[in-house]
Amino acid sequence: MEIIQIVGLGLIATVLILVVREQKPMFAFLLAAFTGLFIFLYIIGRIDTVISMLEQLAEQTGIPSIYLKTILKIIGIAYIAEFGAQIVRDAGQEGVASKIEFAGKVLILVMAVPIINVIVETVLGLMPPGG
Amino acid sequence: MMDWLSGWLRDIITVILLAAIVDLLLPNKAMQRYARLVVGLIVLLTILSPLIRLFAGNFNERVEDSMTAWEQAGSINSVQMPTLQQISKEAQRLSSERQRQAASLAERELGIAMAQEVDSRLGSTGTAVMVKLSEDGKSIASVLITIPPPEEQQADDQTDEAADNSVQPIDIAVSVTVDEVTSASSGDRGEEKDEEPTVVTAEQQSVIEQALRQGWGIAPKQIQIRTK
Repeated sequence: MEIIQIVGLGLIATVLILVVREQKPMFAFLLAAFTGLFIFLYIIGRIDTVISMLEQLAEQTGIPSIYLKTILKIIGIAYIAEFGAQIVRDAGQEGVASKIEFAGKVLILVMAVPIINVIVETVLGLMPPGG
Repeated sequence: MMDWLSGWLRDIITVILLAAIVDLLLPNKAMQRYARLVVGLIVLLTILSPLIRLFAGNFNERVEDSMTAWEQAGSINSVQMPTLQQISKEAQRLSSERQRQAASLAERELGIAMAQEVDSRLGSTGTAVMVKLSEDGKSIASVLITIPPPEEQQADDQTDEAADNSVQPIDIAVSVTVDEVTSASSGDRGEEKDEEPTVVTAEQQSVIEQALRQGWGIAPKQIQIRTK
C-alpha cells in the first residue's frame, strides 16, 4: 500500500505548493524539489528487487557480466538524468533541463563504444586478408 | 552439438529478456531510443557470438579488455582537480621554502654587518663572518669568524705579545689542530704560528666577543674564530 502513501504525499505537496506559490514562488519550488527527491529516494530502493532479479538471471545463464554492467549503467544514467531534468524543468528552466537530458543521452551512447569497437574489429577480422 | 545450440539459444533469450526489462525500466521515450541502440548492439553481439568465437577466438575477454582500456582512457582524460590535501601540502612546501630563503638572507645580512663591526674594531679588512641560525630561525646558533692573516708587522707584534701572554688557540671546530698547537707550544712558537691558521690572539678574541655581545647579544661560546 505504498502507492497510497506516495500519492497522498504528492497530493498534499501539490496543494501546499499551490497555496504557497502566490506568496513565495521560491518556497514553492523548494517544496516541489524536496517532494520529488523524497519520492525518488523512497522508491529507488524498490528497484533493487528488479536489479537483483536481473543479476540472478545473468548469473544463471552465464552471459558475460560486462553486458549486465553496461545495461545497469544505462538504467542508472537514464534515471538520474531524467530526475534532474524534471526538477529543473519544474523551476521553469527548460533549456538547462534539455542540456541535462542531452548529457544523459551522450553518456548512454558512450557506453556503446567498447561494444562497437569489438564488433568492428571482429568484422574486419572476418575479411580475408588482402582480399 | 545440441548442448552448444541450447546454450547459445539460452544466451540469446536471456539477453532479449534483459533488453525488454530495460525498456520497461527506462523513464522516458527520449532515453529509450538511445538505450535501445546499446541494448540492440549487445543482442547482436550475443547472436554473433558463435561466429565470432569461430573466427576471433575468445571475444568475451576482448570485450572486457576494450571496456577496461576505454574506462581507463576516460579517467585519464578527465580533469584532475587537486585535492585539499595536495593544496595544503603544496602550501606547506612553499612556506618552508620561503622561510629557508628568509633565514639564509638573514644569515648573510648578519654576517656582513658583523664583519663590518669586527673590521672597524680591529682596524683590519676582509673579515668574513658565517652566521648560522637555529632551527626555528629565531636565534643565532653559532658564528664562525675568519679574520684575515696578520701583516708581517702585525705578526711580529703578535709574536712578541704571544711571548708575553702565552697564545691560546681558540678554534673549537678542529680539535686535532688544537692538540697539535698545545703539544707543539714548547717548540718554536713564531714559526708554528705562521703555518698554523687557527691561532688568534686573546686580545683579538676578546675584542670580537665584546663587539658581538654588545651588538647582537651572542654568547662567547657560540663564537668560533680562526685566521685564514
